[in-house]
Amino acid sequence: MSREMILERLKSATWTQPSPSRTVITTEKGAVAGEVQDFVSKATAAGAQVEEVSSLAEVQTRLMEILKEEQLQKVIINNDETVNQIDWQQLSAETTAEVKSTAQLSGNYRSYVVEADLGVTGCTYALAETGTVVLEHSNDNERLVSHAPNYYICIVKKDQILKDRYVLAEIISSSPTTPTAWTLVTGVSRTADVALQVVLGMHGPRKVTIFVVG
Amino acid sequence: MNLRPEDFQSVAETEVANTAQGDFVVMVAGVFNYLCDTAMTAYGEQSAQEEARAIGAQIRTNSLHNLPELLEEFESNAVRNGIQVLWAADADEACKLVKDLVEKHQVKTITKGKSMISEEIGLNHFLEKETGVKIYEGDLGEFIVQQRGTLPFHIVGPAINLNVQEIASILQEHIDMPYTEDAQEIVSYVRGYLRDKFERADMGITGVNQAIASTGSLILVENEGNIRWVTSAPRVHVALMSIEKVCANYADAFHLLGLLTRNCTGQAITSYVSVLNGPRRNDETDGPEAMYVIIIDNGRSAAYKDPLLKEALRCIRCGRCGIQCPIYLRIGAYPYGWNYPGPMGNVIAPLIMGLDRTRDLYEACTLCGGCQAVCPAGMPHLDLFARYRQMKVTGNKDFGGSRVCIKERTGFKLLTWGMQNPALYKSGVKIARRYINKRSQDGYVTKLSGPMSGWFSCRDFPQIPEKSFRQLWQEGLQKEAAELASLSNASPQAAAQSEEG
Repeated sequence: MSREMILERLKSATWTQPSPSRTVITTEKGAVAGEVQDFVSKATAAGAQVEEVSSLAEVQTRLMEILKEEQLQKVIINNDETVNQIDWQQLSAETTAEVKSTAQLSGNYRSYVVEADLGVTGCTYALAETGTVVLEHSNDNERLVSHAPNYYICIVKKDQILKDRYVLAEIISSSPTTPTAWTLVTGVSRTADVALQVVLGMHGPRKVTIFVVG
Repeated sequence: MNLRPEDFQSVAETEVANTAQGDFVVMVAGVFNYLCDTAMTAYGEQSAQEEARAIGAQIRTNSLHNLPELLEEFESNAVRNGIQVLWAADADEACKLVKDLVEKHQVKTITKGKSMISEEIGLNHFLEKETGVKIYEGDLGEFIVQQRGTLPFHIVGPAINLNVQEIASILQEHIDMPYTEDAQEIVSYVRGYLRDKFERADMGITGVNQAIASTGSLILVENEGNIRWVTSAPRVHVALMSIEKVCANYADAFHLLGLLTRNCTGQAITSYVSVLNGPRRNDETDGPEAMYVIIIDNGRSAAYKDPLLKEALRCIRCGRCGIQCPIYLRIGAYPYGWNYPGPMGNVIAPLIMGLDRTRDLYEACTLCGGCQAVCPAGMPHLDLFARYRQMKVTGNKDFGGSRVCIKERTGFKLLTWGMQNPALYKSGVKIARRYINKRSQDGYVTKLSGPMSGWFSCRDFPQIPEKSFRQLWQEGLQKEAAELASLSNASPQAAAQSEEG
């Protein structure tokens, strides 16, 4: 009943005229020179540690070093095409870390993800404009993998980097399927609510590393 | 602290006396203004920044022009995505709808993302009283003011007026935090305290920054990560949105998003932007089993009928106007007596709470236009404030405004008449000068007896200068003419040169 009343009131406005003309927002599609460097510098400025690597094999090497240096015990990974190209069995065997994929966990997923020290995902897109990684969520790409652990690592392929949010808007709008959610992650969770002092790691990961591959 | 807009004058008096807070808020505003100005340069030079703001205003114009159609389109697409859409005519109905959902889903614990509309409808108080459910605010600033029992001080920084010692004491008293003045330690303690609540809550409640009509999606922005928890972990998600939050498509929403964050915290984008399209599907574990959107009117559709009043619905809640406002910066948030302090709230308060109750809010404005100059959504603040003042004088039953008393109406009539007649105005000023200046002290009149006593109860008036602008102007012209005449007498050639110059 309230629905009808509200809509009726809105529709009965007598001033209604056609919408005024609009400025069209233009976007530059495709590769733009300096996109990767923009992404790296913007993501770094937002508090992420960004490493440019030439291949996934190099990511594997760095992951091994990180697992050892940080003494990470529980790792959760998304069932993502890029992430699955890493040899997690080898990483687990050569370190003390237990590694589980969202595909393996099903019923135990929630209890595992909240205890994990590290979450690793790929991404669907990244934005050079802001140093943002764009995550598309599904049962293979659960939301808390990139949010609940203290440490989050994202693997970005260079060809996934878009110029800006307007290009992303066009891609999302013309996509035939709709995921349950998208998350745009830029750097590290933060707050300035204590007397304007910026503190990283409020409710999300305290540390974020992004590997840019290619 | 139970504050009301009616108590504006008395609370403002107390707050003005708190000079330490005032100085701190002015300093904070300076920092934010610098950050926001710097962030806006991403669009380019001044003209490009103005164009970006103009596009923002066009997007809001488009949303307002097509509001009922966009809401219907949003509803139909959201329902197709599995979101249940409910409508509430007012605050009471919105609170009752949430209460019904709490009961239906047997909710015991709720976690919340920062939501101004939930403050507007008084949701926390209602739910705690009516259902006994436990509610935890997830945003650190909101969590602090929830413990303290006060209104948020600013839309972005709800506890920004509190120093670290005050915050430490509040958290020590309410959640047993060991006293520390280290911001990192405070953040760490609250993170740990709330983590368990995020994981176990049955229901998450959030607001909505933008609703996208073409896809039925919700966009929520944040820096802390509380909204990601609140929309990912509980089995039920309830999103509250006022009717004006809808926009046509992603391109519009993302442009507004850029303006919102740049004018709010001075960031090109916040740490997290969640785009939510519906409840979890099939094999997903994260995300709610049931997702609801409650579309809340609360006085807005009545304003929508009026071509000027509907402009009050342009706001995208960046809060940039507040840090320009010389009144807000001096008195802070509490005198306004509700959750949208400063110009952002003053444009809509009379439409929601009525002209009489909010009289001091739209009158506590110098009409300097600082708010309007920076607004990225094209809000005509000054026209709205002038309109509310006019509605107050003439009375307006639709918006809770009784006519002002006969004394005040007559006073305004006399003033209008006098100002339209130069001779009367001149003599009026002469009389007023004698009367006012005789009663002034240190250059100001602070109180008067007689019919004007009420006006002076919360205002000072400077002494009227001995010579009016008109007199000074005339004297200037006469002096110039005399100088020219003397030059002309001394040397006709010099006078001609002076005239040419």
